[in-house]
Amino acid sequence: MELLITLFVFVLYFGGFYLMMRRHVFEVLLGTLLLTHATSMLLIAMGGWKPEERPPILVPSAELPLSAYADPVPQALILTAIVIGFGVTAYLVVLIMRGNEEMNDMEMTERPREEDEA
Amino acid sequence: MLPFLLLLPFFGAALLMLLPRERLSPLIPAQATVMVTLGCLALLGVATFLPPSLELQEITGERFHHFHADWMPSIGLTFSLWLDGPALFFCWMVLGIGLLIFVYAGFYMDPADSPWRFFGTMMLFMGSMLGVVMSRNALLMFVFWELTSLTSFILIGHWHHKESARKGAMRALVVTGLGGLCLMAGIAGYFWILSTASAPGYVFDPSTALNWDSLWANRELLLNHPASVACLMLVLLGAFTKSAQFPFHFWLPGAMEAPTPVSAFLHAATMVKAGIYLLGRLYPIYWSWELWLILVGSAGVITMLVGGFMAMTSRDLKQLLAHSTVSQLGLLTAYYGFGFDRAGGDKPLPMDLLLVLSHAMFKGALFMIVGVIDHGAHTREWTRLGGLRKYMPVTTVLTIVACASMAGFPLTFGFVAKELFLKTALSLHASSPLLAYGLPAVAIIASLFTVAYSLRMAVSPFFGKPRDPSIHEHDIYSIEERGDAEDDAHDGSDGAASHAHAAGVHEGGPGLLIPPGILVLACLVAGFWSPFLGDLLSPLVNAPFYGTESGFTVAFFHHADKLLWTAVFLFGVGVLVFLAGKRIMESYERAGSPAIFRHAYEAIFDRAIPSLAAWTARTSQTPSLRRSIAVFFAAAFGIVVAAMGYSGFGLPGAIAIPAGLWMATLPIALTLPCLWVAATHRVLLVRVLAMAPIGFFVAMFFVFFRAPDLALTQILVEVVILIVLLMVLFRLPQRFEPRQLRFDPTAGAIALVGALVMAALTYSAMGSPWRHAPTLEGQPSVRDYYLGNAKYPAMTSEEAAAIGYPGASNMRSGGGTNVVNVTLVDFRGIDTFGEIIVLGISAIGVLCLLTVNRRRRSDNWRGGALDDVGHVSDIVNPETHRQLEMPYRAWPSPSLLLSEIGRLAPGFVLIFAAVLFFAGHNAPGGGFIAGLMVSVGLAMVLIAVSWTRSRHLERFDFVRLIGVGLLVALLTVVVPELFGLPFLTSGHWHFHLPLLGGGEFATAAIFDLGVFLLVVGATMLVVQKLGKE
Repeated sequence: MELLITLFVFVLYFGGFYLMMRRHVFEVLLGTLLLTHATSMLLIAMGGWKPEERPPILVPSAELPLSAYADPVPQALILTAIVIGFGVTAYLVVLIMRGNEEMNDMEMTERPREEDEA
Repeated sequence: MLPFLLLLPFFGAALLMLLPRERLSPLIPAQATVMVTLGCLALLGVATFLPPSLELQEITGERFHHFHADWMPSIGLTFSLWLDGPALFFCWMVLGIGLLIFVYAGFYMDPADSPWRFFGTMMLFMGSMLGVVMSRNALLMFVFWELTSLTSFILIGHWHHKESARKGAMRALVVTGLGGLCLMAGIAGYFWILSTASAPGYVFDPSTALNWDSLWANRELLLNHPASVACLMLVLLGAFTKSAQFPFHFWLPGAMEAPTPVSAFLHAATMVKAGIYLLGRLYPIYWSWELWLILVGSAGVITMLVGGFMAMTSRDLKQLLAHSTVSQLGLLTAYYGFGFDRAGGDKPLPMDLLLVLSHAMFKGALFMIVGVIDHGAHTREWTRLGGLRKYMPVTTVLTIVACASMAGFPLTFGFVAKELFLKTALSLHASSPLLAYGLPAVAIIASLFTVAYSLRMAVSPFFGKPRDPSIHEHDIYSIEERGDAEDDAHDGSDGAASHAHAAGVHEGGPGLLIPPGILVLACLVAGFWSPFLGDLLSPLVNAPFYGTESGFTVAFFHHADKLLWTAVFLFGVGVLVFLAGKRIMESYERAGSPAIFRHAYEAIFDRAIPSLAAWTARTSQTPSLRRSIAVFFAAAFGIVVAAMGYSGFGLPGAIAIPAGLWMATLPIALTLPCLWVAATHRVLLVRVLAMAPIGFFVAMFFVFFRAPDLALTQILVEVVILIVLLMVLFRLPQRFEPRQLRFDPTAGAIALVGALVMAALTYSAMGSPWRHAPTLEGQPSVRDYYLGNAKYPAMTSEEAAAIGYPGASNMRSGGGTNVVNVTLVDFRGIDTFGEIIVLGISAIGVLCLLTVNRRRRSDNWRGGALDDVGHVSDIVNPETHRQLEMPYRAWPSPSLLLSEIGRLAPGFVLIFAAVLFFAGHNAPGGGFIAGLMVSVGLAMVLIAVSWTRSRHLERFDFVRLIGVGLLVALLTVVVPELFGLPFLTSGHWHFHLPLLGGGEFATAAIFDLGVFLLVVGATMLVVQKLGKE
């Protein structure tokens, strides 16, 4: 199972990194989406994977030891990360739209900076 | 009393910032500043003559006013103020001279020359300076010390349209700022020494350790520690940079770009004295150390010499005064150095404050007089002036008396000060004759220059014939001609001077003459009454630390002893130097000023650091965004690999896939084709649709990881993102060109390496052996702490121990069973608070992108022409505004089925969201998830239902919702503070609601409500604005 998770993370990161380095801005956006997923997976993997663990929702009557529950810390971290990921994505996508409006161009042209031109 | 005195100028400054400037007279700031200063003086007067509060100093038995409040006591920073002797003296000096200079400035400054900023900053400076001298805590003094640097920066750069003013301000800030950092390091060193020291009977108390009196009381510890030399040098660097000691003296002449009142107040009378003040505080600790003499004494005498020489070779009278200030500060520094006594005996340094006062009086007056000359004669270069006594008789008299005091001529206050200095210098005992005779010898040579430049100041502008006759001929002297002298350039901005220009050379008005006149008069009176003044000052002179006075009496005129003869002899030689002065100056100018240290400064701060920054930017932030990303990845990979090498590579134990989880292979198998399509398809829409399932596969993995909240959030976010992407997609070119589809091998290789590193990191993390280990002995790991405290407030320690909870004695409760939610709203609430702020900002950023600076949207994405209307003011441009109000048009008449479902579904969605929200503390759900759920529902309405029927949604101001959500969250952050509890403290009680069932209500739910509102607001703002497009 660990290998499987690792494989999943690998695939997501590979796609994310590759798309991030493309010229087309929308591909970069898709790349960031993939990186968000990949990093969520990496974080939750840090909590470790044990099939016998329960979700971190306490069962007061059951008197279970704490080690019976999954690690809540990465889960809490990822939850906010996902929502912020949405905020960033929304911003990026509108930025791309506006960039296209202003420049009529979806490619990250490697134009020199202004001071280099001067 | 003390905090009022300290804060009054700050309040005054704040008031000046808040008053409606347009409707008030520009004279108000000057008047307000004078009033505030008078108020401070009144408070200080009360503090001086009222019997001090009943605190007995254990150390010395002294009593004085004091005030204490905790700030960060654990690191030694407390808000501790006092009015001991030196503090009292400096407060009187700052406020007294400040009052005169503010009156003068009211007449000097052009009312049109941003008086609000000028006087506001002057008041801020005055408050900071009071803070420096009133701080009992050394670290608190550092805080105010930096404030004086900052305000000085603003004031030097007051005429910021001049490059020289900007440069001078920057140089002053960099030099004094770096010195301030050294000072902080030195003080931190003291704290470290005191906190690690051990001695019989010594108890370390962090809240008082850095008080001046306790530093003095523990001086044996400070002196005997191996790091004490480093500490002393760091603290001295702070003092030397502030007081412009060699080799940091070059910033002070540059600071003369400031308006004259600033130069008089900051760079003559007060701020540069802060370093001297610090030396005065350090002196009782170090006076028996020969290193003190070597460092302080030699810095002082060299500064005296360099400053004196530079003053003698200056053409500009203000530069002359600046260099003479450098020289006199050197004298004050040297005086403390000469106070060294190897015997460590009972010899206190006599009357150090008297020297400080003397200098502040004549130098403050002289700077103001230079301003008057500048006003009246339109130049400050003595090589062009001459014969002014006919036109400016009062100024002439004032200058002569002030210069006499500066030169130490008998009958003046300066004479008394000079005599003190000579006496101390000549009775210096040191281990090496080089120190014992060398240092005083240099000081005496430097004092010849003092006489020479004092004469220059007093004689050259006023007597003889005009050296440059043109300045007396009214009409010829024109602005063009003045333009050649860069130093004069600020007159152009100084309306009063330009105005007076037409009248030719003239005397200053009473407002400009009375303040320096009072100081000059004081020089004379203090000279006559110096015994009385001595009696007045002697109890203040660092008395708490010295014990008894040495019996040195201040006398107006000692009988003719060798000191007097020495003084007279020096004066005579000084006259000779003055006579040769012009020739020396000219040959020095021919040789070219070396200005080594200024050049070194410029080489470092004007060239080396900027070019290093440019190089870094050039190499890492290349014009190619892709290269930048690659550089960033390379660095990140490096860090990850290094971290893995440091902490070791863990291996997970079980690799097998448990039965029943074989389905986990399914999402991976499906991800690959999705990814392939998302990366390679030539239609944008298809790529976006192919991306969506990947998010759901991640959600599946969250289920495998036993994270129901995450899975819910992921699915909902995926839906909302898909909606937003689809809304934007219509406005983008749909197809990729073939060259855009070509495989990029470089990117592929980098991505492969990166993905391998990250995969290795993941694999290693899952096998880390320390994952479940307690962090410290007896302390639970974070994981166990959260799990153990989420619900069970009633659990006893035994019960906690029974379920293996290590930190049982340290229980607090979040009052919920959903540990993830409790973590979000309680344990890590402040973190969540920051995160929802980020979310709100990104939504408002979207709003700005869609409205601000937008070209007219004449369908340019359909190929229409671009109109150039785009400016920020577009928001209020009615044309644009009308367009933003245009009805929706992106989705032409939706299908009937969709619109009917869209009308019914939101109701269910909202109910479900409510359940999720209330369940959240104990079951999967909570503010984030419920908020996303509501957003999905409302977005459905917006998309599906015909737009006319959802006007209220279309009009709804979601920005306000973001604000309300933030406010609600903020309330739960702040309210517990009002009850004296830590941030976000949560209470909880049982409740019973119909339908939703009973449960426990934690106040953390209110915070969750804020999160909920903000998530809805942010998400819907984006959807709404995009929908309007």
